[in-house]
Amino acid sequence: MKRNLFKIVALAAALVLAIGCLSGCGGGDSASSGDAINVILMGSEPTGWSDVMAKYDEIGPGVKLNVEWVAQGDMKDKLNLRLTAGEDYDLVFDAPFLKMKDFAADGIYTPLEDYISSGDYPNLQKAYTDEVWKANYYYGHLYGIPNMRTYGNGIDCVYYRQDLADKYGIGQIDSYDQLQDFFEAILANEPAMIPLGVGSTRGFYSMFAQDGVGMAKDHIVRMSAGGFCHVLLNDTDTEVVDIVYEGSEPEAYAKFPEKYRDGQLFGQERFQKLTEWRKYLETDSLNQKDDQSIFKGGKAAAIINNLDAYEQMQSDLKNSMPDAQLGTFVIPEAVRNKEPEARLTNLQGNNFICIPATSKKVDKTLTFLDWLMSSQENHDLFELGIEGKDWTAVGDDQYSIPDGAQYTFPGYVLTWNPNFVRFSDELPPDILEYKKYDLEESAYYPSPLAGFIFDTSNIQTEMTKVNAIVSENATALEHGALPDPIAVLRQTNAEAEQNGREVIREELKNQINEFLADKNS
Amino acid sequence: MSVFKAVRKKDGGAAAVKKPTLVQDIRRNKWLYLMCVPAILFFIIFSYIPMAGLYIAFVNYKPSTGIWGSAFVGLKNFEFFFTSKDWITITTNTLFLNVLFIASSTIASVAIAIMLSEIKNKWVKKITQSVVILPHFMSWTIVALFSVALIASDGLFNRIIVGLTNDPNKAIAFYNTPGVWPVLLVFFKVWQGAGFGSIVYLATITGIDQEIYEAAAVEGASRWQCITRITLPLLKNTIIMLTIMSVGKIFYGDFGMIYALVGNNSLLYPTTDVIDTYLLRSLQENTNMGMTAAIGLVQSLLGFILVIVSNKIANKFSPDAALF
Repeated sequence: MKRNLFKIVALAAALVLAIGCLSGCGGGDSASSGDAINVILMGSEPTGWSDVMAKYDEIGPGVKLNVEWVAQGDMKDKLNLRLTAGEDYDLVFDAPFLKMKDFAADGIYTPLEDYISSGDYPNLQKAYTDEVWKANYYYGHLYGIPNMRTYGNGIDCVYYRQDLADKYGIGQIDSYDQLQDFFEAILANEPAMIPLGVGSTRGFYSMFAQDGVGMAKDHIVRMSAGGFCHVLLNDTDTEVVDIVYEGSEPEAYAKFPEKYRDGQLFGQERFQKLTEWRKYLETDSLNQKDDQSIFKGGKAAAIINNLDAYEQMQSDLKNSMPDAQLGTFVIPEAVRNKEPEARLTNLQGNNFICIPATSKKVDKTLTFLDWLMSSQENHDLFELGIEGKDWTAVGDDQYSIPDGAQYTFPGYVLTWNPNFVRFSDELPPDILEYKKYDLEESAYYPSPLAGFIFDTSNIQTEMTKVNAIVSENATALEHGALPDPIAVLRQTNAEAEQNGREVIREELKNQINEFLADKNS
Repeated sequence: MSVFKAVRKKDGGAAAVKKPTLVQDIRRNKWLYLMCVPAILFFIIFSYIPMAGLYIAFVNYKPSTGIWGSAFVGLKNFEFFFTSKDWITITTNTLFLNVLFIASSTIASVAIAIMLSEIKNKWVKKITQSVVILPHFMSWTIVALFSVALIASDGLFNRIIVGLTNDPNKAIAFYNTPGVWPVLLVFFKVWQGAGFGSIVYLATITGIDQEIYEAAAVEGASRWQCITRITLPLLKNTIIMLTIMSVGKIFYGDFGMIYALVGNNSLLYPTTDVIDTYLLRSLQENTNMGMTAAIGLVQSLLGFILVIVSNKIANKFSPDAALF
């Protein structure tokens, strides 16, 4: 009796395990739900989302939305699995940092250029100028609608402790010299502090950046293709004259305009400067994973970021150190002075909303997007929530958030557009000015290669080898951690040449020439 | 327990006469075989069936066309690695670090197991055991945060060094000094894994017949002699067996650990760059499933060959310790 009982229990346990084994293989439940369009957005569902959906059903164009929110960490894998498996989705968020480049090349998304130009979706068509639409083509087609408010990637700035700058008699910082004085003062007087906090991957990042606009006016474009290189075009921007990788010997620049020939303006000067400024970083900067919090925690006197982070930075700093004052130093001089044509743009979005090729509801989906772009009111419903409850309008282009309101929608996944921008009313006037300047089209100078995307699928082996070589010193260089950066660059270049960079250069040259020929035909 | 005893008795009797066929064996021990089903299913589903996917290493994989629809490219996916200038350095690093890890973890695990077995007080033993096993359950990301507190330029180690020598210049910039990293990695590896690794050894020690120790004590053996003459020799087979098993993964760099601790710090690559971190660096801009699968295949094949070879050697010198 006892023996039988034992057998039964053991078998039951085995059975449970076996079922457990197999259950992992079950098919996922299909997202399909009749009439609605199935949407994947990145982020977590905003608090109060259901109220927004209810309101949308009331005033919307009659297209039901079935939105699934996917956390950023899972997004790449989930997109990959669902779309390659051909699951039933009609609208998904994607970006070059996710699967956009691969999926566009593989025909996973519906080309939208004919829909946009058909005139059936006038509001959507108006969302961007023809030039911008064109610049966002991937491999000859429009595979996604860009979500962008500005043509830039934010205004790069150094956030610093104004209270400390005042204490040491430096005041408002408006130049690299003053910034250096500030760092020296911190080094001399605040032994527990690091003058400048930087993160491991980015290092000095946008500091001492090369003058992209100046170069573009001289028909030179800097790009990354197995290391950074400068592409010299002819005077009419119709053909490639030469491509030279950063850190090359002066002789390599023979075809470039006079002032660039010593290679100093192409990064060499910058890397020497970084080595010189290395003393303002912490010893372990290459392993610093969270530079933002050492600033907010009072350990670093300054950090590099951009103006988009202003509100967050200010409130975090206030919370941790009530006496601290936040100062900002806008890095590029022309931007600091809000000059026109101060910023180079390729007019490309960093975020897109795409329609999978498997979707059978393309028209319905576009009807929704057209509605979203048809008025400030519709747009604000998604981006800011329900007016009166989640936000209140201040003037034409500002909003304020009532106490306790919690609706936060990640605009870059769906709603961002230059025609419908509202700013927080908590921004100080000078920052607001910069944010408005950031939106002006006249602040930008389009790159001669705007819209060009380097397709590396035929030179994978070379790209992989060269990328490994270039990445060997990349972070150390960005931290100024190598005593002789130019020698390192030269050596890296020599090794890259031996490992197939010539092939990459040729491919790049051909693709650019083809692109320019297409553009001008 | 009665089931097993009965089976063993029957089996023992039969084997002496004639080896049973598989069918006979299954019929006779149907309950035991039934209970193996989950494990067998697990390996079939998660280890054997996916092997078909190794084909991906030989194609230019495109998700839209699927594995079987992608163009066959032969050995092209292997080319980038074996023609790169660094592959020998990286492979050497991987092997060197893994040999260090296996040796030091084994020694530390055995030492911990013996020490635990020598503790007589039940409570002290239980608490110590829990404390040494605990680090195993911490993710490397968390260990990486600890490591900063320990080895940063103003971390614990450097404070101790500066405190003892009274000379701030004696501090070691660990994050800028590649030479110290093999030692540091071994330190963290042992700290994290040795306690957990001691469990098997401890179980083996517990299984040793107490009468052997009693007899030795009667003969006047000291405690140290008992360890070196009885415990260690009896642990030998377990040690060899577990070592063979870890050799199978010897060409895999411990990515979770090394990437969490070293990250993108290129100053440390000369001693810490292993096959897996190299792959990340070279492929993160242009992901390529085929190339990744190709290197994975090489790592597994080399590991497999090493397992077979070391098992052969074990068979020759200590047949009981061999896996098969």
